[in-house]
Amino acid sequence: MARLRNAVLSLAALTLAAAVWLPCLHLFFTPPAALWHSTSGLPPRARELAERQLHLWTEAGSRRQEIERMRRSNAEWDFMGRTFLVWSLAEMALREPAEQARYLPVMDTIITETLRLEREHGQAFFLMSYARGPAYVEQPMRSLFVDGEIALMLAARRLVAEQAEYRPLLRARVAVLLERMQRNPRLIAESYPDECWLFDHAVALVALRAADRLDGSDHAAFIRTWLDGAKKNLTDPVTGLLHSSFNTKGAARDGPEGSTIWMAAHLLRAVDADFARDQYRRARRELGRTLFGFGWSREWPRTWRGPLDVDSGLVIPVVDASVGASGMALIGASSFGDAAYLRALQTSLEFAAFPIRAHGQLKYGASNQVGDAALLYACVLGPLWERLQEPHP
Amino acid sequence: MKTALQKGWRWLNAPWSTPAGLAARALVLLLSLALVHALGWREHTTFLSGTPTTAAIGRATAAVLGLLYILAYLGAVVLAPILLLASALLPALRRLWPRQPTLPKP
Repeated sequence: MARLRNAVLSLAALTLAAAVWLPCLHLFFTPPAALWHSTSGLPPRARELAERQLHLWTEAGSRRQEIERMRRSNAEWDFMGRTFLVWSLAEMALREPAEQARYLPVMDTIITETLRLEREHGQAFFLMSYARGPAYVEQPMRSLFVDGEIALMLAARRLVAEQAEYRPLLRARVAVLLERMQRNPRLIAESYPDECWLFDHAVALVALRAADRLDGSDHAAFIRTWLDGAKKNLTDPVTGLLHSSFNTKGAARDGPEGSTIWMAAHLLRAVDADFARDQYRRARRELGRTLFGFGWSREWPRTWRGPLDVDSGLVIPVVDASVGASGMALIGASSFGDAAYLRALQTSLEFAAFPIRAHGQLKYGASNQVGDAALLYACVLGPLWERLQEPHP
Repeated sequence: MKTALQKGWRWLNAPWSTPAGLAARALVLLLSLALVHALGWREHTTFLSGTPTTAAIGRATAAVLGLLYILAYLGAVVLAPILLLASALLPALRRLWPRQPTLPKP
């Protein structure tokens, strides 16, 4: 009887303690809002993340080591790490004009080196190995993923400060984007053999918008036609969310995915703010979750289940928290000013991504260079999209 | 010295249904995190992103070390405070449900 009493009392004490502790746990990890956000200049977290990224691009040894370990898993990450950093540096340069002399040379180094690698090794250098497998439907092979992101890197650099040598490069890249998309009656182009990705099309549309802003071209009608087609043909009828990938006939391969839709909604904000906000709201309802002050994103809505892949990253069972989708959700929440969800996501980041600080630099243990660059982008995004809305000078 | 060690060992081995036993287990969890942190295993949590730590260490080894770090971290951050709170609550609960006096044998 005494043993039973002791066991019951201990269990009761543990239950009570858990009921007190678990709802309070987030209080020890929720960062003050000012650490992550500021309307001008750089918030402190962004500065720490930026210092780490800048260090990698100014210390060749560290960069090589970081890129090699990412490429052993996925060559795409090497490329996207460059892209997110160039976009981040553009935002930072607009936030801190006095620091442009520091940021612009790094942007130029990244762009120049990326173009060199593409020229020497082909676009497949930045793609996963299966890009070299079955033939692309459209020949010669080109990847909208690589063309679109390079175009937007060039445009972002020029939106901060004009660089004459990038003007013909952007014009040529925009011509390729258009020509490839216009080959298909649905205006979609491959990134991998018979694989077309929403993410890459959204990047391409923003690159077209940026070219209009910079060079006075007019792709408004093309962008409108693409969006009308996507609303009709590339949308999941149950959730109203855009599919994340489709084949060249427009049939869905992957349904709506958190690792794509948050970033796609942010990108689409530059070309159709109302549609983008609608996609964000739907994603928030279908994928965004919070509990006890922590926030995360599911990779798939309840009505769709896809396979785990490099985009979803690890998915934690029971709560269905996807590492990749939760990272991208930070960008979406930041872009659409969803302060409560953003705070919950940041709390999860501080709790479960294992920040590591040294010499004024910050990286997340559970992340890698591309993940940290995306987090930096989430902290600083804003001014570039505002500049995109200005008319061509 | 020997008495202090013996006391410490007895405390660590106290039954889990006692306040001392709960606090001792919390201490073990906190010390586990201190150990794996001092060993630098936080870096290996990068396996969560699907990225190996360095070329010098195998992917599987890095994942195991990273997983051990995460378990120690969750133990220290989530479980240890619960155990400590429970050890503080237990005496109060005992007062609410006092032990029945043993009846004398007829």
